[in-house]
Amino acid sequence: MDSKPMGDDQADMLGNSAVSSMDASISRFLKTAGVDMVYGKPVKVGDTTIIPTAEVLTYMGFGVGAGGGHAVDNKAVDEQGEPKSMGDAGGSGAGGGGGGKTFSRPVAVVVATPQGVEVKPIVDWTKIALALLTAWGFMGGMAIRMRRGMRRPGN
Amino acid sequence: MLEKLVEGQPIQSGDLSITPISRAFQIQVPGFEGGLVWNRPEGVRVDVFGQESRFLPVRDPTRLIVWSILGAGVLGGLAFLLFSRRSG
Repeated sequence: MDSKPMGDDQADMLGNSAVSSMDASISRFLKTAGVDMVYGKPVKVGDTTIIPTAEVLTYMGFGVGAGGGHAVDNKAVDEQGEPKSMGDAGGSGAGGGGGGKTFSRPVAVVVATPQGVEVKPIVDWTKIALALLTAWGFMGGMAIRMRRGMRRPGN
Repeated sequence: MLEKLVEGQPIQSGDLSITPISRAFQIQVPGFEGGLVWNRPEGVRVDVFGQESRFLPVRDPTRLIVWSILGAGVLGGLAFLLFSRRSG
């Protein structure tokens, strides 16, 4: 089955659509810098108000491209002496890709009572344990390397 | 690269008005579609009618402890490396 190659107009439309989609994604990405991303909805229990807070880290990147064209026969010329197009012969293409990730972690809770406002931090023991393992692993690796260096012949 | 403080809408709790404040760090490379945003709570400003407003910082002990541990690990590892080079 012969498929008609995409013309320049179609390639432009596809490219514009991809750029619009990319602009929308960038816009949503930049919204993560807003205060609403970090402070949650306040929860009211009686006369106490609780506001959760979190730290948010987001990164993303992507690119799009589109192009199209048709072949021209330089030997054949039309009445004006311009090179003649070869009709449907030509090529086109479009592509794009991207990715990103968001990390979020609770940081503290703001508690407001009639007596006053207090900020209570949240300690993430899992993260601390992982950091300890990483640090020990790195130091252990360096210590093993040091011992190997000391055991070399001539030492 | 951009760092900005952003104030949110005040939240009412009885006589108290609590204004959340966040600090956002943004990196966007010109010509590159994308970037990085690091957003965290800075603190809250508490306003009570007839009283002076005060600022309560939001402290993050987890980040402080994690960075201290990782920093100590890197320094300790580098110390081992330097010691092994001097011995060898």
